Amino acid sequence: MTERGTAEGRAGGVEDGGVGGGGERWVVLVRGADRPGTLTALTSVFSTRGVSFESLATGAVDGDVGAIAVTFRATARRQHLLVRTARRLSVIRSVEVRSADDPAVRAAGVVVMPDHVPFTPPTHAAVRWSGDTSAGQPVLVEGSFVDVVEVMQAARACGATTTATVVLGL
Amino acid sequence: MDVAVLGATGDVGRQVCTQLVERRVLPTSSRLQLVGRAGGSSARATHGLRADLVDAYDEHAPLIDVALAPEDVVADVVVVCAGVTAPPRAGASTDRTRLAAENHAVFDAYARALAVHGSGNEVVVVVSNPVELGVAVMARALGRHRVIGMGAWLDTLRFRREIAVSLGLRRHRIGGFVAGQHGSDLVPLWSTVRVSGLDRAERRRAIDALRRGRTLATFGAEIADAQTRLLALAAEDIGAAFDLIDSWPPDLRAVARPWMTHQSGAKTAAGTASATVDLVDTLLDGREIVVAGQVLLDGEVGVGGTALDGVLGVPVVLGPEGWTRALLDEPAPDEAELLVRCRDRIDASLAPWGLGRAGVGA
Repeated sequence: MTERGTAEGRAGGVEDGGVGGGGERWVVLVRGADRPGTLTALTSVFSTRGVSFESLATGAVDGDVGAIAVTFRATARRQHLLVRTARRLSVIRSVEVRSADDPAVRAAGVVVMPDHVPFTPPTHAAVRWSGDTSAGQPVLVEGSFVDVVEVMQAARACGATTTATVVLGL
Repeated sequence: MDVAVLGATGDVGRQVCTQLVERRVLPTSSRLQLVGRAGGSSARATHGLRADLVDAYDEHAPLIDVALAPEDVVADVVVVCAGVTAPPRAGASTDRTRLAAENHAVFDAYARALAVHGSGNEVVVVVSNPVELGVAVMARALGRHRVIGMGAWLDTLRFRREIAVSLGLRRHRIGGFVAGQHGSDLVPLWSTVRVSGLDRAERRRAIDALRRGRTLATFGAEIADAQTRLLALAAEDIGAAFDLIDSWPPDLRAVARPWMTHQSGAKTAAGTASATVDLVDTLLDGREIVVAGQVLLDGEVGVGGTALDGVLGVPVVLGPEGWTRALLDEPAPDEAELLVRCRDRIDASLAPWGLGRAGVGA
């Protein structure tokens, strides 16, 4: 599997989480068989129950097992059902779920600003970062998922042309 | 939507699984969970069944998953085929008390697990016998509207078929329901029978001819006599026993034929599974239809001024979230009397487990 992130805040992004209608935000880290059909099987668990992803990214492949990171909104009860159902799939090796607010969930982000528009992450966001947007460089950010998401939101409010977040794991 | 079949490797469970796949009830993106029991022979056979189903139907099979513990059951529809069955041989004594005791433990284990680990929305279709006991156990744990026993639907389909055969029509032109208890204590609701293409007067004449002047007042005695005659005849010539059944009225045939099938050793797995898959297909398809099923009533319908409560087979509206309403117009007097007696017999059979009308919650 190749590594791709899903940009937040793009046009048509999830507004209400589908049937979930909001609820808490969750991060699910899945290890699945690196073969055709694994992503389809996993995403069907959610889509057939009216739950839309906020993000989905595939990660590095280790042997014949690949990593998939998914974020979505749902009530705790529906999250429990979705995770239990995903665990029953023969192509899934393991499923870990955490609240998106859990500081153990790590993420990285990229911010691209318009030419020479300055941007630095908010000081209260506990992230490591690098890049000078005044010099035309992207800002690279790493920290807890919730803090990285906050940085991305701040960047968009400042006019960022591109933001992207990738869940790194626990 | 996903389906779990408890007791997947039993005769009926295996047929249910096969028919669910062969009839393409489940899309390829859904999951069929084969549930066996750790430590038993089904623990091994369940994996083999999975392989066999994939071997036969790979091109359109759903995802197939194996579970061997009640707490691992994860599905939107749960079909209960687990437990022991009465021995399928001529003259075999059916120790109903032992059957009920063994299967109560099975029902209870799965009911508790679903109550603790389930989503709170599973619909449970009880196939195993005693189906009324299964419905009572599941309904107490999960809520009565989520649980339906398919015995009355199977009896209804058999009743309709026998009427159709007698009239020279196909079954889909016959309406009507069977209520009561699954098996020999069923109550054929002749007052609900409809025949497509016949007006009221024509229907009345046709039904009168089919019933041959009988009422349900003697139905129990007729069934007992029929079984005695069939056993005696089958000992010499089982083909003749089945032929004898063909000479009887439709309601008696609807009871005698499956009974004789079980006595022959063939069991009734295919017919039972077919009726079950009909119900599952309805649940998965998002439709609401009227079927007959064993459900836990709470007085929402009545006969002859007597509110019916407790587990009883009646016509109900069945939809994706379970059954919503019981639909039982005032039946004929002989049907009403038999229904009330049947309700009382079921209640007595459930009492040992505190599941009689006084002990079962809504």
